[in-house]
Amino acid sequence: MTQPILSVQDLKKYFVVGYSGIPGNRQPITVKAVDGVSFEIYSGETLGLVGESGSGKSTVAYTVVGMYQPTAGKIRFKDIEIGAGQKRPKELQKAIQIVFQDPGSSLNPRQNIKQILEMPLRVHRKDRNRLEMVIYLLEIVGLPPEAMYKYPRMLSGGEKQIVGIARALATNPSLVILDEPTSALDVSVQAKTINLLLQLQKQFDLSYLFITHDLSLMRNVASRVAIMYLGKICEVANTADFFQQPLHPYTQMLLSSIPVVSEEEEALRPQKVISRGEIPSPVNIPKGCSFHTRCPFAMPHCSEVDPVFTDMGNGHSVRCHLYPQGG
Amino acid sequence: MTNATTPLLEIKDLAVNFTVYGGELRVLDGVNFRMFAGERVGLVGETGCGKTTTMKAVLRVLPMPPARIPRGEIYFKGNDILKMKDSDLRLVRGQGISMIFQDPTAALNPVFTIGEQMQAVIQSNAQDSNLSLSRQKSWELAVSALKDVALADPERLLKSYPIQLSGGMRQRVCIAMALSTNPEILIADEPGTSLDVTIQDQILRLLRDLVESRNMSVILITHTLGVVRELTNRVYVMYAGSIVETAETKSIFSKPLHPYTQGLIATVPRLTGGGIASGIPGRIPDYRNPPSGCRFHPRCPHVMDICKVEKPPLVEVDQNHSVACFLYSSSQKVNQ
Amino acid sequence: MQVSANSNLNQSSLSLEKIKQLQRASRREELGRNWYKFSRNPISVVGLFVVVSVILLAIFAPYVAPYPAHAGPFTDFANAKKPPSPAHWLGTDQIGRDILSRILFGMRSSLLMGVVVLSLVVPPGVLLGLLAGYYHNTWIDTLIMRVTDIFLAVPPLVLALAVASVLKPNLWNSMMAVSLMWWPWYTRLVYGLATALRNEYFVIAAEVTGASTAHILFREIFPNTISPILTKISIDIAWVIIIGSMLSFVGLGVQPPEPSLGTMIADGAKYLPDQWWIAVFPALAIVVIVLGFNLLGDGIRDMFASEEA
Repeated sequence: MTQPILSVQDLKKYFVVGYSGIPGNRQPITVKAVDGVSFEIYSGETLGLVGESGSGKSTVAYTVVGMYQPTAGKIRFKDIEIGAGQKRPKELQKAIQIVFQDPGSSLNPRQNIKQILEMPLRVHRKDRNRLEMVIYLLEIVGLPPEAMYKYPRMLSGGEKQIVGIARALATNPSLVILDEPTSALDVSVQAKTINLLLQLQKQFDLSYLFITHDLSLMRNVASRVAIMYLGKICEVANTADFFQQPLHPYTQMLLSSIPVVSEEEEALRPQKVISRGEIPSPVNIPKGCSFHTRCPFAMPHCSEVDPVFTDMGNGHSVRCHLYPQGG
Repeated sequence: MTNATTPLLEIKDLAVNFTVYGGELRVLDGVNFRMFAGERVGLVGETGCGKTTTMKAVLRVLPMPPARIPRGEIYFKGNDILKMKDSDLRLVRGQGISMIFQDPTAALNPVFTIGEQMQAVIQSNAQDSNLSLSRQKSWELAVSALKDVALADPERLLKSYPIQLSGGMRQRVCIAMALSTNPEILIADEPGTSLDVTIQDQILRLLRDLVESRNMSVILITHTLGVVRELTNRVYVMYAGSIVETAETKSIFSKPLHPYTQGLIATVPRLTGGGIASGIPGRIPDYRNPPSGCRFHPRCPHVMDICKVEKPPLVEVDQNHSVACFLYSSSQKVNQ
Repeated sequence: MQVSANSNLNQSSLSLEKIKQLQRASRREELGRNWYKFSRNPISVVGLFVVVSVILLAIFAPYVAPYPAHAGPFTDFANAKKPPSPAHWLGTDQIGRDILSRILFGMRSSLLMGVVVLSLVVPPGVLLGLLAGYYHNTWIDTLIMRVTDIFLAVPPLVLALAVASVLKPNLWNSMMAVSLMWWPWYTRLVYGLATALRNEYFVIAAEVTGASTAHILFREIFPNTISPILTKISIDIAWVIIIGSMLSFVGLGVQPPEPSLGTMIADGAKYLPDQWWIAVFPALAIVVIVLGFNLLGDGIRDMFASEEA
């Protein structure tokens, strides 16, 4: 394996959401949105990141792309490294881009498509001929040049999302973060959009960090999958292993919760690990293993000690007391 | 007068238009729908196909200036909803038909407690039936409704504000509110779509249990095929304002007949792998100028000349399985 | 492979001419659509008509007024306090001047006041609001908003009166006074909008790409504030006119013999109810102008309203 294009080491992102206690003795209330996450992305691959609300997957994405400053840990992209408190260099703004989930709010309603696509061109490419570039971008994503003067409200959800993708490509990035890119779209539009993304990936040699809660989609898009719960990664594996041999109880719970459309898929799902309990608030993360409150296999040990990763071979790691290190 | 074979809800040839800049949007183009007591029917279609408009028409909550109903009837227990007086309509809404919406956060008023909102629903429903309820009684009914949806500590919940509850709990509250009026039909519009997958699973199982235990009829509106498969026994597939196929759920998935249904099912990613299908080419029609004949014809891989000219009627081609497509019929009259 | 546009434009079917055509077509469509939204409520069209008429009448007052000389130093006591008649449609005032002509000229100073004050007030007010909103929770926000609060804390009319009485009483100075107490409202308005807008994903997309702050403020955030600002402007013109009339009512605005609607009401008040026309017609003129702008403002708001069906 060659060097990864992105390497995230022990990333932490905490938010102070308020203060408790009386003036003079105020304690900050901290949300540990991301609490020690490490992963790598290799050139040309798609790493899938799965999780529900409160898992921190979006926070990871936003920190990698530069919306948030990391609280601790390092992000290394090619040969540029940033840590807490360091300003992000311009090359990184070009090289790492993001496509947001909600097409309705990721495009400025008061700008037409041409203006929306010109923005990154203005910042990073001082080519004189932006108009040509805009038409070219539209062409790559399959939109006609006439779309240039339309406003977002005149486009369908799928078309808006495609504009978002074109905008991300405008800076010629190497890594594109896709934050639930098709969750707001109908299933047939999703198919078209995903196919476009896969084609673009091949065409421009892109690496993707693909975030979604839709495991069926993940199965067909990602080459490796990582699952997050309350700020930490629980399991990482190659896609096939992840789905055929899910080890972590949360992975199994998630897999058994998704509605499927065929009997073959039903057979693949793990024996029902019924979802129980509410997802704890990230302000109040349970002690020990954060999943123990909902885990059907919880042992007394789980409420005291947070598990660490065990390498199960073939790129499959899991962080659970059911699979102790060295055992 | 109703008997075992009269449908509980029947929509006949419903058309709805909206007046907008540049013309009229002919959204619904003759919807035919039928539901019997105790059934769990899915109404499946993608964004813009008109499923929510149809349900809003049933409850008569469409904004009538831009919207207009040029033809069609909606029969609830034999009475045409579209012609009802307000006083009769109020009884239909609530005791007859109740609805839960996609986003429970938007459906709950943030400045009132859960208890206040539930009691308001219960009280107003009682008034419509000319009953009077004491506050104590309506409180008790609210508590029992919350227990029915498996919410712990209902007394404390009734005193809380929606913002203090999680998404899953809010959805349960909405279900409780909808059920507190003892409706005969529950319409669920994308329940659980805005919730996390594990919570959505809990909600869907709750719905299934409630429906079975009360023998309630449910209309499930969704674009998620997996949910339809798990929760319904009959399905209507809708495209661009009319029904294109209807059958028992297992038949729809094992033997989809209409090219749109086939395309739709093919594009659902599979847990077993296999890549992503290429999707259905084209886009949903512009309702100002919809395609002539069959509205799906510009996107259909099997389009024939007649499809561009005449709109195929919904015709039964197999046991309880009807399709609106000239691949299977040639201008016979409808027989659901 | 690089994302680049070297070759493709030549192959694309689009010539510069066709692109210009597209642009024009889309602009026309926008205009049509906006007019449709605006005119859905016929009353807004009435408002537009009134405002346009008032503006035109005011501009062309010297040519339209039947007795333009009456707007200056002119007396004709023989003809004083005459009721409305074919010769003087709205009657004459206590000095014998034609009320209609004076109203038309009075509208000039009212409108001028509205336009000048708002031109002075809106740009700095909006700019400060954008800055404070975008830099929410920083010292910039605190500084700007506290200064705004100070200005807002002073009762507006009192401030205007105080300033106007310190300076020489004339139209220009009364405009200064009103401007000084008007700008904070725009800062407040835009501040609220900007603090919400800066969290929108399209703004974040621009930040993440490295767009300059100027781009974000003026091209991303500001265009989304135009609608409430325009609505407020159209209603404000009405308010500024009223306040200007109040100032001239107490003698601090336009000085006689130049006509001003407020002064005319003040002078005519003494002659109520017998020679009611001297005070009532100028008052009606104010009502019509104010109503016209308010209705226009409603229409503008409808025009910018979201089109989500």
